[in-house]
Amino acid sequence: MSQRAFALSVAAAAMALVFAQLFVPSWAGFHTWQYAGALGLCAIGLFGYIGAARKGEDGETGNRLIVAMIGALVTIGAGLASGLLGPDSEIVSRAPATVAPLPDVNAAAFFPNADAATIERGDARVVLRRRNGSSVELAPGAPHFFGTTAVEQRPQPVAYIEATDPQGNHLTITQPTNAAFLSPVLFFPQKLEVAKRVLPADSFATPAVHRQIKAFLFSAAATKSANFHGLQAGAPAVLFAVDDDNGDLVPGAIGFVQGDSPIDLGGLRLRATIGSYPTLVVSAIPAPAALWLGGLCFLGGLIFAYVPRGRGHSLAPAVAAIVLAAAGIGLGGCTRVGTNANDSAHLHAWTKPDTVRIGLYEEPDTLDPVVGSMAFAGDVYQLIFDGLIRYDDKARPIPDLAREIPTQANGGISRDGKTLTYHLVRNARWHDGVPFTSADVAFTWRALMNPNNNVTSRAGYDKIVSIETPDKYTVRLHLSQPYPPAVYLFEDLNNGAIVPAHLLAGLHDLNKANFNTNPIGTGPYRFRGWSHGSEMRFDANPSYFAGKPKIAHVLVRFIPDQNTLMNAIRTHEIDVDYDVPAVQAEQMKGFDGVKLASVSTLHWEHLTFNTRRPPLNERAVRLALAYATDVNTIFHKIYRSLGTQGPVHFNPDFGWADPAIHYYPHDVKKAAALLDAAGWKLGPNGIRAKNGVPLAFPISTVAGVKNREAIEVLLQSEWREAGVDLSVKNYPAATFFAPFGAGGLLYTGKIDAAIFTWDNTDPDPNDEAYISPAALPPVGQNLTFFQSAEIGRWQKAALLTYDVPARRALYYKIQHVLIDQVPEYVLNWLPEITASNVDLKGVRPVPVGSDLWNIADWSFGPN
Amino acid sequence: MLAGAPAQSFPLETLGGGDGALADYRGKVVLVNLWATWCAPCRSETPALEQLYRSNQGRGLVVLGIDQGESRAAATKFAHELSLTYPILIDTEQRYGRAYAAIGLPTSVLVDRTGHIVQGVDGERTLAEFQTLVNPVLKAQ
Repeated sequence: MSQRAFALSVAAAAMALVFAQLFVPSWAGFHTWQYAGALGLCAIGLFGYIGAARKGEDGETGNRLIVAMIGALVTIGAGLASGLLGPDSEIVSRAPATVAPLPDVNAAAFFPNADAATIERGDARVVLRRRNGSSVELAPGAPHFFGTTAVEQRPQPVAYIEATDPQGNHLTITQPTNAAFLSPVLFFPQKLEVAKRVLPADSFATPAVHRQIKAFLFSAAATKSANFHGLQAGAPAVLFAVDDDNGDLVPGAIGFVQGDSPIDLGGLRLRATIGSYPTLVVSAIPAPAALWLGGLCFLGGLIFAYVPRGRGHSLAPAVAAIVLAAAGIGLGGCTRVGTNANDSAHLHAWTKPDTVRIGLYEEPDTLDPVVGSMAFAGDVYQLIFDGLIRYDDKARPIPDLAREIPTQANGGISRDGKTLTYHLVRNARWHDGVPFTSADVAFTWRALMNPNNNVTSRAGYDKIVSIETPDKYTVRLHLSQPYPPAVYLFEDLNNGAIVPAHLLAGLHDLNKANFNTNPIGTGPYRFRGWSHGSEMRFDANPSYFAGKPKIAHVLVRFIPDQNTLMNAIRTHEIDVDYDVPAVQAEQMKGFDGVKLASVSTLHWEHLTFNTRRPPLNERAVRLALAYATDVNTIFHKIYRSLGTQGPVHFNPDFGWADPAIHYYPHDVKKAAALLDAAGWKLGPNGIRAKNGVPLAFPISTVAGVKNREAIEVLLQSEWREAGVDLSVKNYPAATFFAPFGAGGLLYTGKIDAAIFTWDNTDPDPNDEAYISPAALPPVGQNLTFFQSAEIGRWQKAALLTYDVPARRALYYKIQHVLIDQVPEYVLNWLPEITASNVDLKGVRPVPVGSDLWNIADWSFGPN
Repeated sequence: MLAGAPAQSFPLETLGGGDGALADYRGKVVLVNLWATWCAPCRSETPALEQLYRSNQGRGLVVLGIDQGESRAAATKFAHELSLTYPILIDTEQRYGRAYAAIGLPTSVLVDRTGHIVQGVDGERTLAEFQTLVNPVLKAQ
């Protein structure tokens, strides 16, 4: 074979290999090294020929063939980009009547509803609805092309299950281990060995009659070779095995269903309609532009070489140059799949190394933090803006645009405690390039205090009398009084993040400013776009003062439903889901490729004793109840060991709790002795009484809160051992927590003992609201009605000094009174739980503030 | 559940044997509650739903209970036991459960007056929580 014939054969073979991706896009071989190697060898051969032809070794025809060879090389490049570097094919399988996002094609796949007849006919078709509003109904058999992605609809064998009880009543079918919980359609995703055959398997339950059913699918071919008695060969069948609630097989409850006939097994009548339901295969294909270009050059080059023409020779270099330039464009179009390939080699296929996708429960109404009021919007502000401070994962304020947190030790707080001085970073710039200065801080305060602006809370800012800016990088706050929580002002959240004076200073108010949807900040990410109701996009700020963020893009997806959020983290449509409810965390532990992180918060669930009402007005009774309470059982059994233990309202994780203070040991004898000594004598019925009055009272909480109701039941039995007759009387939240004026049961002191949660929104230990003698309802929230004049004095003193050891000593004293007098007994500090992609590094949830506080440090990396 | 998406509606049998569907309540705010008689949390939140329905009926709220995968007889017995007055549909094929991708029972879905999903919530809720959920949508008239 001549050199030219060899080169042409190689080029044709390479073109065929690459174009084959359009015909069988989901073939796994395209993503192997063997395929890439074959294309690589072809490319080497073609480069060899081109080199020789340029030297004139194959004459004029060879020189002209260079164009065709370059066309083949362009095609090879496109093939390698989609094959070796492109993502593997993904199977998207969903239950009928559900929707799956297909981000690669900017579309949502609507899987149609399907009853038994539809399943039997197998004619259901998926509809793709694209962002641009167009819809495509997918026909089975042939791939549909969307840019560099092909989508194929394939039939998957499924069974539609109907179950009734012996009286013929329909029964609910659930698939508790499947995202499609309420679907009667089984997809048989597992492979299990039965009678030496590996069969598609699935399971479901009929909870009304306490049955769990395993189902195995026998295809028509499998029934031919099965040779089971009574099984018709050549027709598909489902083998059912019915278990009870404990997972034990109900005796004799195993059998086949075939055709229309139902079967009676284990107290159930089961029918299975076997057929098919569509599933989608999403695959990468070569960039169409590159294929067109390569194909045209190849054909054009052949014509150019073999069709005689007078002056064609002189055109060859020009044609080649155009082709090369165009090839550059064509290959450039493939970077979607080509970038970061080396970095991402060890990441999971679901990870997009240049983008972190965050699921958010609420969509912000404005992107101006001065007038923002929604808690979740604070997370978005963390991306765009900075504060003077942020909170870290220990609830400590850390410097942001301020270079350090002012203290009296570093001279940042004046001796009289009424002036705070902040020194600012000097290298921060607004996203439009204007330098950030002290004038921006002063403007932000004026904007917060401007009565024309709809500011949610001015708490703390109203204690600032004036702001002085002696130079561009110094800010002085002058306070009306010493106020230790002032160091938490100007945090990077709602009503605190710093906004640009040069853009906003001239406006009458900020409530409806254009800025609210086109924000300019100093933060780690620049706002790029907002598809309302759907998502918000951000790009890394290359000139971020603390260093360019490691991940190039952030996509915030708004998913206002916690089920859907959980599904999205499970299917890796998002990388981060935070504020996960504890009940979902249990389920998430089993999700593939998802990790959980939790942190203790400032939300405490506790026992409150009404110290004004007998018998809980007696310290001995409250103390005895503390001894009679097994806090460890409550922590492990009820809270599933999530959260933090600590007996009084100072979380042991945050530096203000006295480490010498512990729970009382669970000691029923001690409890009995205390009650005996206080005159509460054990009666013949096991209940104590004093002066003929039994030791009996109710405990209350919000009806329907499962954890708390379970604790009540536990306390009933534990306290009963000490001779206390505890009854349970729960109320709707509206009645329980209603304000004093509305006759709320807690606030009007009508409750004896209660279980509920208090939430603190900043980490300062100031607890006047909860336990001050001056905060009894209707004035405040001291729902224990416990009055200690010394606590009141210590609280006031602690608010007049910035000296942390001095404040700590005062709060320690308060804690000693609380543990000695037991007006409250904290059962658990509830956790903040965050679920994230295992490939994502650096996610550290915070007790207060935003989980995105350190997003500039997040990165993707292998485990 | 796609907030903002049109809420899917399927024709079903009512407790009384007639025809009914979510779409019948267009123009009202509908709290769709997916439940089954065997589901203990469903049973326990039902009084709150009944109270919610009674106190907000005049404001244009409908609570629509949709029994999942059971017979009309079973649902009727349950409704009589708990003296329920809000409308109930019998979804023997669990179509609503699938369409709203319920991952457990009870699941509630709030639908606005134009027939679009506002929010879905899973698990048992109290009257106060339901009230907090529906209030902004009832006000947005």
